[in-house]
Amino acid sequence: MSSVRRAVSAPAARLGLVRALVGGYTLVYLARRRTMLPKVVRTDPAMFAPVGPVRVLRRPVPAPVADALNDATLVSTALFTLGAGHRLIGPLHSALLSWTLSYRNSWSMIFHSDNALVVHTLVLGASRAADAVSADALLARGPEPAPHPRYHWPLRLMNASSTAVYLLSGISKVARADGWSWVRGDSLRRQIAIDGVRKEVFGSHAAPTAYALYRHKALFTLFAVGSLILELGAPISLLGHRFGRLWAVSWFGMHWGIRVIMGIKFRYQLSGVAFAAWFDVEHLLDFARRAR
Amino acid sequence: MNGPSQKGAVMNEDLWAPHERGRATLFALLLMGAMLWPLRQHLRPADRRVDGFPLSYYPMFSKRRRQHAHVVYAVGILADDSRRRLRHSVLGSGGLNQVRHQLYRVAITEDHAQQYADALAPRLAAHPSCADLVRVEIVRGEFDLDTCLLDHRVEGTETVLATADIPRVTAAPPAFVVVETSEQVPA
Repeated sequence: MSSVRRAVSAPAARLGLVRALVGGYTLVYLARRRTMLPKVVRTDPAMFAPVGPVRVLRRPVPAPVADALNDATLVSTALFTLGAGHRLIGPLHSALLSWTLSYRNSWSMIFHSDNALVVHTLVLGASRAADAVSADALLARGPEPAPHPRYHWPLRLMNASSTAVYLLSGISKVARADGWSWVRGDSLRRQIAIDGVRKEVFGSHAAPTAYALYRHKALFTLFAVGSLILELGAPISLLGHRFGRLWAVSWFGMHWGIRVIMGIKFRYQLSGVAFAAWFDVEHLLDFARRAR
Repeated sequence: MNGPSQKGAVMNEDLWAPHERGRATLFALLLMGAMLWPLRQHLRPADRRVDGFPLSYYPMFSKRRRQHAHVVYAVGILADDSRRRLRHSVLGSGGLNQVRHQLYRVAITEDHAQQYADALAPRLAAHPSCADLVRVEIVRGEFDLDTCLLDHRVEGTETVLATADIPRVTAAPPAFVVVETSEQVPA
């Protein structure tokens, strides 16, 4: 295999394990919302504000239909995680998850923490992500496929989509009427303040760190500069493995920082699974084999 | 892009299935194009921008914030006229930010604060944590953010938008439901 081809190839196990990790995360995420989702879909229909594919609807679907789709998504998630019947289940799961999370976000509030999960699932569902580390591969009983670009492009596309998310976030901050003033940190500092006030008046609590850090204005300038570098500089992460991993680790740290200072949970990113495609995760399988 | 699985043999390293590479390229171009498409929102006036899911221009954290801010929320009034802010889970489902958005939409955007209060009052009557309340108010609070955060005391000036007495004999109507959740993301 030429060095160029090696550079654009990946082992099937890497893509397969990323599929299993993303699926496993989704399974836990949806299972923990099994009691919440039926209540959300029974919210006052006047609050219905469809987004994404749900925009085909003018009014909510009957609640039992929404319940059935939620349950079907849970089942498809389990099969997707196992890598069972991936040729059919992959695209089906992508469609169901896109619908379910769009429907959940169609009640006057969009949870941006789910966007990357949906996009990553679309990529995995459309690729040969179950040629290894899957029920399909077990049943086939063949040797593991050789590294190939077909296992590489989905990972690169997942990374590119993550990059786009951060780049768009950065552009939103500097595309305001007052342009680059966001970099001073005042808006970020006050965003943290208003978020804390909202929590307090709705019976929750602002993060203690928000109170502790608020008086240190220079710190927020530092946070603002850092986050803009990570967001507007996101395309640099696509230049090579080292840049990619550096950025992925930095984004992971940024989300944990947001968690600590604002109490806001971008769960997919906090779990680390959102960044799995940047790393040679198949080595985890070797560790597991050696540990047995 | 979902070609047949490779059964029984190590794959030829140069072999792509027919059209596999072309389909992958097309899919990648379409996906990235779709993800960047929301950038066009920045060409629109700020008050006409529309966010979406899963394709978004990610406006969170980007709004200009000033020292003073307002929040619409609900306050329960006790018999001795003391006041207690109502927890989001008492008001509706889906988490703090979803409830907050919905309340703002009803009370400010649609100017239906009184209908909201009227619908909320009988539900509070049936809620165990609200047994001591006699009245509910939908208020718009004005807060000095610096004072709140520096003094560690969230107090502001409240303007009452709507009020409703809480009846003491009724079951909850189904208009809004109650659920506990910790899901929170910024607007």
